[in-house]
Amino acid sequence: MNITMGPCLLIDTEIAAIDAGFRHELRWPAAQRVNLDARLLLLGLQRLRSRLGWTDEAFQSSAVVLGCRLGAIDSYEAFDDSLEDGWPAPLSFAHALPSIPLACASLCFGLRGHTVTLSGDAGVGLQALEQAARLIRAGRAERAIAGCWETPSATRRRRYGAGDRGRCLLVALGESGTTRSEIGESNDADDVGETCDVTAVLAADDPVARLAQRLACHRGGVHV
Amino acid sequence: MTGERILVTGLGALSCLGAGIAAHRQAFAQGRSGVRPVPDAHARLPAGIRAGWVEFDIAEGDARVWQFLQYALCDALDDAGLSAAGDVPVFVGSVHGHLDGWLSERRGNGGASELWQPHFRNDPRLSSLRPPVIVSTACTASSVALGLAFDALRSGDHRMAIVAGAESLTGFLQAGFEALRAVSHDRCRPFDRRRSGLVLGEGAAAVVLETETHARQRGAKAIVEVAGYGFAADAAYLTAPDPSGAGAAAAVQQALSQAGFATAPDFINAHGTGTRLNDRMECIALRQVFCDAVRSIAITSIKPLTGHLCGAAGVMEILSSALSLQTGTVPAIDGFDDPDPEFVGWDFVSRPRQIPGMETAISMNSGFGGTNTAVALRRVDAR
Repeated sequence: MNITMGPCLLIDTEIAAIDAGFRHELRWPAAQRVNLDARLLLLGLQRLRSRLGWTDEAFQSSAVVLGCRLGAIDSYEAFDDSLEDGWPAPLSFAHALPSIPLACASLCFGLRGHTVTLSGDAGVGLQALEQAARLIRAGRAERAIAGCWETPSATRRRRYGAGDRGRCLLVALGESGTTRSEIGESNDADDVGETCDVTAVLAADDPVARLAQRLACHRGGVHV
Repeated sequence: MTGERILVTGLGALSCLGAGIAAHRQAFAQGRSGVRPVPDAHARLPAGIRAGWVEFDIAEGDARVWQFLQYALCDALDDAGLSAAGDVPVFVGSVHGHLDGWLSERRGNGGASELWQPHFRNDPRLSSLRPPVIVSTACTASSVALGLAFDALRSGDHRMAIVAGAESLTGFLQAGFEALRAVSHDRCRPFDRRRSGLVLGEGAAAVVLETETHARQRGAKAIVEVAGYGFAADAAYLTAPDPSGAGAAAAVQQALSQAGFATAPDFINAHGTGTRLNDRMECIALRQVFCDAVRSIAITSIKPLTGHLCGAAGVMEILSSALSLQTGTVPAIDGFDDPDPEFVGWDFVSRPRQIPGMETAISMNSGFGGTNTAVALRRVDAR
C-alpha cells in the first residue's frame, strides 16, 4: 500500500517565540505547567491541525508517531537539580519521560489513537515516518502524523553544540487512495514557511534535518 | 496484511529472578520473588529499600541497561536456535535508556550521555545489528514495541523480528517514584485491599517473533502465538490512570477482536502495579469488557516477583504469560491475601495454579501519559 503524504509543518525558532506562539495559539487550561518540549510540540500540532482541516474525530483517532534524541531532557535536568538541592520536585519527575510531550498533546487535543514516542539518534525522525506509515498499512489508523522535535537544553548544547532554537517537523499521512484534499490541502510554499532558514535546517545533522531531507525528496507522494 | 500467524520462537530474560529462561520459568512457577533489600554496599541505590535489583557483572564504562539488553537478546537468540541476529529488525522498549551515563556525565564523573544509542560488548551474535527502533511510551514501552514488530511481520515487511525491553534502576528513578508517593514501604500487593504502592525493579526481556512459514522453514520450535494487539490512549491525566478504564478496555477489546477468541481468555496478566489507582482502573476496564464473566477469569500480576520493570515490564510479562501457556501454570500474585472489597469474588491468583487445557491469555500494560496496551496470546496447538 502506498501512503499519501499531506502537508508538512516546520518550526525552527527561539524559545521566546515558541512561548509567545504557545500563549497566543493554545487555549488549554493545564498549559502553564508543561515543559518546553511539550510547548513546542503542542504549538506544532496546533498549527498543523489548522492546515489539515480534519474533523475533530479524524484528528483524535489518527496515529501520531514522533521521534526525539533527548525528549523532555529539561525536565530530567530540573529533577536532577532538585535532588542535588535535597528537595525532590515531583512535577519535574512526572514530566521527565520522553513520551510526556506527546502525552500532553493527547490530553490537549483528545488524541486516543496510537500515540507513540520513539527515542534514538539522528535517524529517529525517519523511523517515526516508517512506523506511522506502517500503522496505516496495518489498519490501525486511517491517518497519521509523523515527525520529530528537539529543544535547547544544557545536555543538547553539551552533546551536539546546538544553539538556542527549538525545532519541530511534522507531516500528515493518509492511506493510499485518499486524495491530497482528504489529507489536507497544501501549498508547498506554505509547508515550510515558518519564517525559518530552511537551508540551515537541512544542513544540520539531526533528526529534523534528516526527516526534512527525506520529505524534500518525496513531495507529492511518498512510499514508506 | 498477510494473514500469517505470528509465533514466538525464542525467549530471553534477566531480572532479580536470575539470568536466563530456566531461572524465570522456575521462579514464576514457584511464585518466588526476587525483590529484596538493597545492601549497604550497593552504591547506585539507597541502602535498605526493597527493590528487584539485579546482580550482574558490569565492566567499568559499560552501560548497565545495554548490558541487560545484550544478555536478553543473546539469550533469546540462543533459545530460538539462531547463531546471530543478522539484520533482523530489533524493537526495544525502554523508559529512560542509558540514564546512568547521563547522570554520571552531568555530575562530572565521566561516562557517555548518549541516552538512546545501545552499545554492546563484542559479540558475533549482535555484530550486524541495525540501529533498533526504541519505543519510549512509559511503562507500555516494550509492549508497544511488540505491537510495532507484530504489524511489521503481518504486513509482510519482515519475516522475523526481535522485541526487547530493558530498564536500569537508578537512585533518580527511586527518588522520583518516592516523590510521587507511588512506592510501597511494605510490599507490592496488587489487587489486595492493603495495597500501598509499587516496588521498582530492573532487567531486560526479549522475544524472537517470526511468521509461521518462516519458523517452519527453518525448523524453529514454536512457543506461543501472538494473536492480537491493542493500543488506546486515555487522553485524561499525565500521571494517573483514567478512572473510567476506557482506554485500557479499548486496548483489550482491540486485542480480543484481532485474536478472534471465541471465549474469554483463560487468564489475564494485568499490569497490576499495586497502586490503588492502577489496580482499580484495570478491574473497572476488565468489567467493561467481560461483564459478569470477568469473575471467572484467573487474574495475576508478576510485579511482586520481579519489581516494576518500567519499560521492560511489557515484554517480561508477555514472556511470563507465554511460559504459563507452555507449562499450564499461572504464577501467583505474591503478597495477595485479601481482595479489595470492591472486587470480592474475583479470581485473583493467590497461589501458583495449574489450569488444565489452558489455551489463551491477555497481557495488559498501562503507563504515565495514559497509554494502554493489550497483547493476546494463544497456545500454538490451540486451533
